[in-house]
Amino acid sequence: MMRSLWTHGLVCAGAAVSALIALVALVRFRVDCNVSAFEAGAYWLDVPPDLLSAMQYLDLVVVATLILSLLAAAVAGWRVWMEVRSG
Amino acid sequence: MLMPRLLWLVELGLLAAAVCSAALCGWLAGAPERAGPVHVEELVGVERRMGVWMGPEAELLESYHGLALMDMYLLAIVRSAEKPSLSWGHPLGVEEDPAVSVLDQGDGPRLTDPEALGLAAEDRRTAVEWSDFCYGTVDRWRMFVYRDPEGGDYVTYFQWTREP
Repeated sequence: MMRSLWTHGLVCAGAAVSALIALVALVRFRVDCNVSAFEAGAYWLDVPPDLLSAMQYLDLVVVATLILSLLAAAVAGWRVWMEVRSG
Repeated sequence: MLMPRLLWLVELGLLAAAVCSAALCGWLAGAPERAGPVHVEELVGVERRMGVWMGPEAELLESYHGLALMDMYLLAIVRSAEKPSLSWGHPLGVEEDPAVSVLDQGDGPRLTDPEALGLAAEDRRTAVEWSDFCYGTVDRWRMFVYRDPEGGDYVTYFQWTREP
């Protein structure tokens, strides 16, 4: 049982690290590219296509990461609770 | 027996998806480094054609801002001191800028009298200086573009400031 609990704990930790990486990436990108200025209507004349794609999709991918991390942690937590309850 | 295995599969599958998604975030966030500095050659080209704006630069301005080149307008150009990028701001309405409002009313300083606008003679840069200007240390400047009522041609003045 202890081994199982440890494994669930590792899943939770992995989910937390994934969520953290996603948030740090988002903040770093927004600061590096001054995305708030871009969204406020200040356009770069020559935004490279890769940068534009990243700007368009990063928010979406970060949200997906957060949802997946939350789900993984929730399932792990629920299983811990079930195992503890069943002794 | 099947249920615990299925739950393990779901749990680890979700974790794997989250890890892959986080890795994708990291890769996307590295896009600015991969793209390198954003150059401003096109913008310099615009100014070199001072007087009459034609060609791709004018089309760019129209597509980005919906500007009509025959109208008087004001562009705010903002350049971050740390970032190698340069951006065009929204066209500001004439009524949003007191200096331009005065021009528009026709009873204030005239277009042909930049000193009366508070622009010193040395603030009027030539195209050659503009190139240095773009890559210099100026943080923010405004470019006023309007039609000279006497000459019927476009006149451009620059006003710039440094971040405190």
